Amino acid sequence: MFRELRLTNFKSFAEEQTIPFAPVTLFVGANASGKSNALDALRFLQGLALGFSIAECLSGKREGGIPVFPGIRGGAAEVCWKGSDRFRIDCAVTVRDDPRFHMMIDIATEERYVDPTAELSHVPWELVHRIAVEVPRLESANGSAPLIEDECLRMERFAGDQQDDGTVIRGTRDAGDRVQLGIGTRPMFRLDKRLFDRTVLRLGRGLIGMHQLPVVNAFRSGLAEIQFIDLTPSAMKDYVSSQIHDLGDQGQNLSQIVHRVSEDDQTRQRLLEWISEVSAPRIVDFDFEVTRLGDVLLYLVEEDGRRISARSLSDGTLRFLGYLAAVFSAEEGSVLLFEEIENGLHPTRVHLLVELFEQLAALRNIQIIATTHSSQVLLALSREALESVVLFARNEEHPGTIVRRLGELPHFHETIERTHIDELFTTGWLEFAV
Amino acid sequence: MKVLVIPENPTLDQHVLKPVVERIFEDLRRSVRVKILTDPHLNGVTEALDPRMVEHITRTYAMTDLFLLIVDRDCIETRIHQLQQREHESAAIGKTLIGCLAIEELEAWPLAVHWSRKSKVKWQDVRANCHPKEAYFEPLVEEQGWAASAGRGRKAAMRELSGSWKRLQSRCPEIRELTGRIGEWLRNRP
Repeated sequence: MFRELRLTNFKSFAEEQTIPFAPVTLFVGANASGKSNALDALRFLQGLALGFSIAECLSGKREGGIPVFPGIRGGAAEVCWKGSDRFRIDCAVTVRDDPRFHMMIDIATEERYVDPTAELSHVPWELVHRIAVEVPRLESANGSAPLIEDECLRMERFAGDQQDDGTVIRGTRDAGDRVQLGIGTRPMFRLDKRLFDRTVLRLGRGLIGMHQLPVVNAFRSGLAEIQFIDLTPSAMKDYVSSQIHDLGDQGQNLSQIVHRVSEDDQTRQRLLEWISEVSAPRIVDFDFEVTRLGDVLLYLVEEDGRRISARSLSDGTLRFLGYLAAVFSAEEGSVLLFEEIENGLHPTRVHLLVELFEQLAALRNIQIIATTHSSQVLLALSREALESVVLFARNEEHPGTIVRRLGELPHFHETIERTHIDELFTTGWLEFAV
Repeated sequence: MKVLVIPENPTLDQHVLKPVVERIFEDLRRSVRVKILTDPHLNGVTEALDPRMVEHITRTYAMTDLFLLIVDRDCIETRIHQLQQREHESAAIGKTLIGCLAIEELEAWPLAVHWSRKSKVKWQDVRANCHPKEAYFEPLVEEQGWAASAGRGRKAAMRELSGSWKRLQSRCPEIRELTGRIGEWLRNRP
């Protein structure tokens, strides 16, 4: 689960800006304020985790004419803040609930590489990854591929406000040694086991002769499995092979995913309750047409027995079904990213989406990151989630994007007691408070 | 006929209020359109009982035949006076508003739907508790596996309303009283 992302000289981010994450994190801000650039940073990290080179992570990759990784908007040419030729991304991921990580800790404990008095299983851990990249200017004579200046991964105990007298650390920072991982154009995820075995990670004050690959793999698989979902109703209406297990980046596998998750009666009931809230005719069941080739098409069954195929469903219904399929099918610990979640939903139904996200994120231990321009979305948030909303702003006093949690804005708490968030949002109060 | 229900917060309350109010009118054999107020999105009982807010709502939704203001009592005995005051103020500007206090929280209603004589806890204790949501409703949601249901379990909990309507009315007399007041208003309508 992401805890924070720090961006320096990356696209619209000039000075280092920290983006904090909660179980449900909404990005708000004017057009071109930098919200999508933050998502680009996550996309870049995902590219690293999937094993692409730095150049491919930035500019995308095609194989046989088919795009296999989209890269980031603007590619290498526009990745650095104006006037700069390098950028840095720091990413902290908590791993308290990751069983793969626990297994590794157990191994370390067993081998007595760490302080045996430390209650490892009760303290959240985090992995902090840093990558700094130099991007040669296009006009330079030897305009070569982007190069890694620095890449490291640290394990840290995240003790929050608690004093930890065991293996170091108060707060989040461990001054432990860093390990140089990336080499030239090869980020750490492309290094082989032999190279890792020569490296050493530090855990607090105690040196661990670490099984480094599991650490890196835990981090890598978390990043690789981020789901960027841009629900596109026109792509969600078709038959889908029953062999498919993911929703797809446009929600194109909707029929099969609803088919799969609704095999469990209780989940089916829950999905029906949610979709009934959105749809004007009451939906009483799902039905599926399965062809001889094993392709599946979803139908909604209305109260009067009428069956409506995915092909005829409204865009709003398809989108909401897409969100349902995404959160109910996500693996525990998954990260889901959506842009402009209110699209296609009637304002009186938008609150259901917020409710769905908050409830299911907590229940299924998934993390949801989304952008929105909707005051209805903000109005429907719980107080806790509202304080975790991240504002992206630009102003004349600072170069580049400025990032703040709403809960940290000056006078936010007292003002929100008297005024609704929609007023603060639509009048520009939030940006003015930065 | 149009009925606008003013909750103290629509996000979760609507999943309880809408089926109950619709059922009341079904009992009274009147066909109505029930809407739960979501804009302005009220956020707490203070806001719902604020006289300026209530006036703003009743003027904005001028097409409404009947406003129902339904909030938690929260063990505050004097809250009824505030509610009555809002009724009088609305009447003074030509609007019909009927208030109702859920005792002690709205979650007592879905609890009443599901409470059985075999339950370990006496119903009187549920009614007397100032926080039945935390004390009884949330454990019930957990126990029944409703946590993924809309309204944090409220939607699933209210699904059995039709089979337990009489029980709900007898266990939560405020609903019977509300039904009676709405019935009286309907009879006296020109």
